[in-house]
Amino acid sequence: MELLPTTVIGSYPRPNWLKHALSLYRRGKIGESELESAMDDACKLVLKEHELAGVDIVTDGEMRRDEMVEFFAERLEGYRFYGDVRVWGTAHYNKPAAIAPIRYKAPMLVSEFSFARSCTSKRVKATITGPYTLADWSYNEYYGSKREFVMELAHVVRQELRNLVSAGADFVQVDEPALPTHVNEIELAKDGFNEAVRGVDAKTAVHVCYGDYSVMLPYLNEFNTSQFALEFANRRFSDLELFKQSDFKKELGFGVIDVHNRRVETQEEVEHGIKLCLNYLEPDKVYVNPDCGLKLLPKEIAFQKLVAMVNGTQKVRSQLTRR
Amino acid sequence: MTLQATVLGGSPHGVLMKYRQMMHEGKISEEKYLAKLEAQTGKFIRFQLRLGVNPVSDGLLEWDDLFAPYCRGALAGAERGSLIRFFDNNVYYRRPVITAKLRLNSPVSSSTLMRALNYAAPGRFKGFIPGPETFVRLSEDKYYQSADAFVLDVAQVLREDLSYLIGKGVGAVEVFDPSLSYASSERLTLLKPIYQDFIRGFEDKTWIALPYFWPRREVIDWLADVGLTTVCPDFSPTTFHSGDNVNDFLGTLAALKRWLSELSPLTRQMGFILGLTDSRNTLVEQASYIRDAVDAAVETGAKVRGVSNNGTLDLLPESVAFKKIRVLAKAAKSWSGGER
Ligand SMILES: [Zn+2]
Repeated sequence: MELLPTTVIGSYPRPNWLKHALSLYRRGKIGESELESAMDDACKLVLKEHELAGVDIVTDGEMRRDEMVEFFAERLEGYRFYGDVRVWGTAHYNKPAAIAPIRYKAPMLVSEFSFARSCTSKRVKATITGPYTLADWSYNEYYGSKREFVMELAHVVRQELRNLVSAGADFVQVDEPALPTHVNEIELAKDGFNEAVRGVDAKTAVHVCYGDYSVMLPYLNEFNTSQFALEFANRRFSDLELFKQSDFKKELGFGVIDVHNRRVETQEEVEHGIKLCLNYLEPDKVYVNPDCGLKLLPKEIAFQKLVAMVNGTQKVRSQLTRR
Repeated sequence: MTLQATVLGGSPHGVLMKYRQMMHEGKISEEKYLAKLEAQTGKFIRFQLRLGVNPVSDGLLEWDDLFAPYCRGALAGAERGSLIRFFDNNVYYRRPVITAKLRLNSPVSSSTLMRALNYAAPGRFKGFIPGPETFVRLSEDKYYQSADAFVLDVAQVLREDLSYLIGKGVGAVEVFDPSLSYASSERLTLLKPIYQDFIRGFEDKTWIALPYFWPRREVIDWLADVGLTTVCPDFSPTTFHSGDNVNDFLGTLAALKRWLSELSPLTRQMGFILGLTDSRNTLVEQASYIRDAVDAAVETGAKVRGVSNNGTLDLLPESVAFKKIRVLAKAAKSWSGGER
């Protein structure tokens, strides 16, 4: 594999025609099979766009998922939904509430992963929301302690991860953006993650974004994962020295694209960011990715951002190999 | 004794989110959006009036986050920066970036107040501003380089807003100031004269809301010392368990009682608005729980002025938030009516 592999965090903007198909489906104007077929087409398109941009490790853009907690909660037993909750600006999700024991029902991601893999020759990364974030971004009306809630979800995630690996997944990213939220619960998040990946035979990464990294850094080496994929462009590439100071031993998926800003980064900015990162980490420990999922951007802009990411990375790569 | 029910922070933006999105996408005009904002504000205020909520809030339906109205032009020197998690909630705000000396171009609340006063008399309305310490702690300062000068200027511009609202005759102004809860003793000493100037002349109408942190005695004593007469502490189960929503009503009630039974002579004079309904969990409290909590508080000798939610209701789905307001109002009414 080349140095500085490029990848995405997961989500990608849905094409307008897919949004239209979804709205037709919700109004009963088209059936499930027609919607499924539109979803399949959208996944192929996103995989192709990732390939065209030159991304090394791709995803299907999570086309089939409305949201990263809602999607799983809808497919598990024990949750109830009361309606949308705002997260920032006009971004919102239907935040689930646990009202009974959470139970695994059936594979949630296996068919989408298998389909994506059948559509590309690139390495496909499977993405799943981690147990701690699933708990923290839900309301809890049932469990007597957060630990009970998180560990129950860890069992659920583990079951799904094992099914994904059986279906051929060799790289799974577990999304834990809630990780730095409660300083006193990072240990719990770590326990939940380690339980979820116990016996799972695949490379894993943990994705975290928009939090205070200093509070989680002391725990990161204890996660049974090879990589942390983190947001850095949004924080203008600050906080890197903290990773050096804390003896961070994992690979870093380095976020070089701000996903909440429509301005497309230049390849020089990407190059600059990666070079800053390489002041602190060895090149063979660095992957390059956007800060977070791209789904809230207009599709054309998301694509251009990926192109800038890949071009900037290639620039650094060629300089590294010339050395 | 009458107990008032009131709503702290904002309300869920509901259908307005969709309208705002459509306006951003150019699908509807700004006029159409503003008309909807007006209608929704009216709807929310009338809803509270019907329930007997007093004072009422406009729901902060145009506030993207705690600082957005300031950083979108009202406050010269402040711009919108990167997206950061808002305390330990799954909600984000844009961090204000301070690039020049702060100056208030126009009172942030003027348009809000205009709208609100179409539905409620000024005295029945509660204004809203962020607290100076929270504004400072949650901003990125690229101009002042001195923490003291920065907080001093922030307090001055926010005082202009506070004074505007009080000048218009509002019943109260809620100063949303969670960051005070983790200010060090030295910091509190530094802040004392600044807060005294900030609220001077408005001591009786300024409420300090301290959501997301179980009240710290030193901070409440400090507020009394500064001259504040009303404080709104967060006594919710989620906050009692440091952000972990595990619905421990009995434990929370016992802790509230313990906390209030140890008030200092100074804080015994302060009015408390008890933040009892949990805006971080969907489980709706029983009115009897709220009445029990008020009974427990009154028994300790604390001056209970009212009951409220613990922090902004914008963290809940709209249907649940409205249920929680109904329960608050029902509990306050029945408690005042002697149903114990
Ligand atoms: Zn993310």
